[in-house]
Amino acid sequence: MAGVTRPGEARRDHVAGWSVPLGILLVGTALLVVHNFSVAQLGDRRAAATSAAEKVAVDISTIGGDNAEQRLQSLSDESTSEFRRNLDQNSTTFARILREGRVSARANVTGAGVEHLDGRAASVLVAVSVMVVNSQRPTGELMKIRLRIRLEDERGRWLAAGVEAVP
Amino acid sequence: MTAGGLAPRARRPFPSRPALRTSAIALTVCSALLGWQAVSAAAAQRDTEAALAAARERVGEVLSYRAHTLDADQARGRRATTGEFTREFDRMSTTVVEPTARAQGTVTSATVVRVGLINARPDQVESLLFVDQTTTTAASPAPQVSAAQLRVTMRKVNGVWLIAGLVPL
Repeated sequence: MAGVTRPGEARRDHVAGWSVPLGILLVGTALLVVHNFSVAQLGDRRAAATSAAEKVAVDISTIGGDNAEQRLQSLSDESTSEFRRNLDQNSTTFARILREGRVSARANVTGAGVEHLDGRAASVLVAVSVMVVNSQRPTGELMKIRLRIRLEDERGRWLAAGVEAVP
Repeated sequence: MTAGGLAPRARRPFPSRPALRTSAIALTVCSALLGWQAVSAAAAQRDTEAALAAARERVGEVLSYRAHTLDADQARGRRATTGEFTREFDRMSTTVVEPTARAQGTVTSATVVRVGLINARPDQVESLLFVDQTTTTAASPAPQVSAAQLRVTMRKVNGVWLIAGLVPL
């Protein structure tokens, strides 16, 4: 009979009427939870990137003929495969130059700030104060250097992908 | 009447209407709170970017001056500062910059080459700036470029980001 709704149909209408708005609300809430979680992680990711860049800066600046291999190995262990290849190609020559020039450098990070950060990569500026002793300056010379360190996130670890001195 | 003599029991739809209504209200409240949180975070991010852009611009203003326009340059630099740093800026201007610049005919221009974020709070942002400063004097007209790295604290005052601290590293 027209105008009469059977119990089964009423139940279907009831569920269908609620399911669409509830589904939209549920998906929207889930998306916002994910978004807000990633925003909340931003501070931690920034701190981790800064810390990784400071370590790279110290490894590359606190170096001398007597510890070059260990320092470069430490840096290599915290580098992306491409940057590691680059380091490995030059480490022997670099260590020899340091030994021959009786170079010894001790670095102190005076400041670090994140220039760029996204889901996969970061670049961090690091200000370093380095005391350099070599055969020509046996008493040492204090140098201030500016570094820009590129990092890549590999499975939650920030690895060095490049180091450049900002002239 | 049914065959057994009992009235048919009305089947209540499942989930019940009050349960669905409660769920909808709860989800709406959660969405609103999370949405507000997301909007606040986006605003904070924009604020931080504005602070860094202001640091880039205002540090250039504070560190650039010409001997023959010194008063105007220092007034502009002063407007870029706030709080205790304004007093420090005044002191440096009168005791160091002014006598030296006037005596030597100094022209100096500071360019911020890179900016990094150290940390951000709602009304205060700390940044690391790499700055190149090009200087000439009457006795040495060839430009001398010096590199500096500065820790700069920016503070929001009446909606404007101003320099509240500047420390050479």
